[in-house]
Amino acid sequence: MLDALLKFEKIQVIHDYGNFHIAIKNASEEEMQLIRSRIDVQNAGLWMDFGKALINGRECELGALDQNFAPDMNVELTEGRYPTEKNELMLEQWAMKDLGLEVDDRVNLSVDNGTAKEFVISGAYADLGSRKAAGIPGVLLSVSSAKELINIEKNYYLVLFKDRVKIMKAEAEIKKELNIPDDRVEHNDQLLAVIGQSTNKTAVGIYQTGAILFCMVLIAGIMMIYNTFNISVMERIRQFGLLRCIGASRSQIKKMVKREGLLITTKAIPIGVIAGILVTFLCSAILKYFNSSLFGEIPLFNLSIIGIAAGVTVGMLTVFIACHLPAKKAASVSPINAVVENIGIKIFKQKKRGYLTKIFHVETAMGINNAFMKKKTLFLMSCSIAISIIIFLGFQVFVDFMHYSLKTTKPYTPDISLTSEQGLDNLYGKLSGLSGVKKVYGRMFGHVDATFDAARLTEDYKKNCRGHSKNQ
Amino acid sequence: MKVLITENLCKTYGAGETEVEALKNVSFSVSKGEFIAIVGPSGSGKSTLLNLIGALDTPTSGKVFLDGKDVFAMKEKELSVFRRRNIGFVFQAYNLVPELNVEENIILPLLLDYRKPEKKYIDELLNVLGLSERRLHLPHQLSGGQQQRVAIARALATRPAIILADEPTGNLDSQNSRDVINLMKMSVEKYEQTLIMITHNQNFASFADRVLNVEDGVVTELGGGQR
Repeated sequence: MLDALLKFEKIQVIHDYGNFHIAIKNASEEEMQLIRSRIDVQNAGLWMDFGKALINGRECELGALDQNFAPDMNVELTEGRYPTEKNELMLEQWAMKDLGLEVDDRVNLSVDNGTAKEFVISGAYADLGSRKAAGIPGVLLSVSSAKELINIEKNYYLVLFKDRVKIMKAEAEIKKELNIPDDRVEHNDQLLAVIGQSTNKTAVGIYQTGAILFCMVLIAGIMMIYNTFNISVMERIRQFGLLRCIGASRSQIKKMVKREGLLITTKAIPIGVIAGILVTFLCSAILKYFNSSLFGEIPLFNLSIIGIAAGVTVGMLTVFIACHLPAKKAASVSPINAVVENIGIKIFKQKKRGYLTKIFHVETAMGINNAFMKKKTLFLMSCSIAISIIIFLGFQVFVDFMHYSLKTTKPYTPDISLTSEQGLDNLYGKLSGLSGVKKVYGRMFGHVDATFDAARLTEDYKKNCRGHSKNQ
Repeated sequence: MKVLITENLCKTYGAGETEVEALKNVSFSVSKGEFIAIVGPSGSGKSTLLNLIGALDTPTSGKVFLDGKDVFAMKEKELSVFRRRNIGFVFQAYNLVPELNVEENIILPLLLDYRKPEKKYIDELLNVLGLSERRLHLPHQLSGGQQQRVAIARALATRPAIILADEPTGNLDSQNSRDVINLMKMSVEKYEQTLIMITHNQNFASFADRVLNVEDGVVTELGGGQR
């Protein structure tokens, strides 16, 4: 299930942030050439960001992207073709409709520095949710024309490594070979975190939580199997005694118990694996069909070889560890246990004064006796119960943590925001009247360009700012 | 030839107030092929004596020589092997392995020794003890008398130096008890085995070559049986 969720997360992250691992800022032709030719690089492409521009008078985000990297950045051509000529551009589909444009229409594009030029629409690409929501269309030029149009050298060379490449190592190699300083390399932290190749704090934190939970589950598993085994061994003390009487050696008995465990495991593992797959499938299906907007892209059938292998290994490991002590115990049974009973149970007190039966009813007294007189049983039972409580609490914390990280805890966070540039005059009254609405409030904002004296910023502030923007 | 010699066997349970002397300076010997019956009231130390002879328990002091070997001088590992080759046990509660069938139960001591059972001998044992028909049955499908006969066959399977039986008829009715004792005596004679048997029944004691009486941990010889 974890694997399914991670895969789903990966799809989501690629969808939201793009399918690249690292980006080299302002890469030169030579650097690009060298990176592209590396054996561990699957794909690489140039991405240029020109910021805001006006298309037929409407504000838009202007950029340029190498065609080979477009699919990895979720740019999917839906109409026409990718811009290649100097005067060609590509627009989001919703924006085409919005602006009343068709492929091959001519548009006017003016850039911040005052340059204005006429372009031909060569094609349209699929809507990007975030841009559509913001109401600012994305406009893509061909890389070659972009270079001529604007001379701001702000480009990113996006690099997608092949599967199973140690990205941190590869990155270090690139940096060393091409002599690229740290601040020219940006990471797609979200993607790196999901594939477990990040050094990012939050990601590592999540993995650590996972590791702790994993250990707890492992311990609980060991305890449970150990307990069951122990009880089954205790029940058969007489039989082990008998086997010793008729000549079984200690190591033979030890082997016997271990084989027994192994055999049970070989039966239990396939059942566990199949049940696990079914449960994963079921959970995925529930998520997919009951919450299709959020989890629509979760893979339904998800056979993770790694997951199954891990499950099998963990199963074997738990049984191996859990069998060890009971096997030892069975081996240490003296042959005399075949004839004499109740030697294996350790009792707390040498003498029993019989107070309990005087204070309590006999059934209470015997219950207390049974619970406390057998040391080992008491210890194991309490441990098992304690661990199940720990796991329960642990998962609760984990779930809470996920909950908080997904949702801001600020009380003023709205559930729904309605945005309009024209204003929402009588909407306030209507909304407040709806049943189930707790609060309705309005806010307005606008952007203003301002200048300030950068020299007056303290070093600390700058540092904080940079760290902050990186984490975003 | 002496198969079994005990020298000044003492066994004390507990310490201080609760100290119990179960056996006091027991010395006797048994020749090959003898049938010894041990009698005595409950708690007199009969079972303790048998457990010591079978090396199931360790004595407080004294020695046991079985087939010329000092049993308690052996290490645990050696003792396991020695036990499976030289001592056969028959218990009051039959003590068969529930998940093995009659034949498997009988040859189990041989299998534990990684030996191949001699088919002819095992078939003969099954025949003598009237178990041929039951060869593939599981213990819980057998009556008490049948189960005890399987246990006797198991004790005989390895042709041990000595067979120890602790009240083998304790859980059986009189008819079955008589059958079992007769079979035991017969097979012991047929295969020239040495048998030491605890019994409460004076009649069965009279089948034996010698009878030992245990009372308060002291062993006395009561002389031969009827024969």
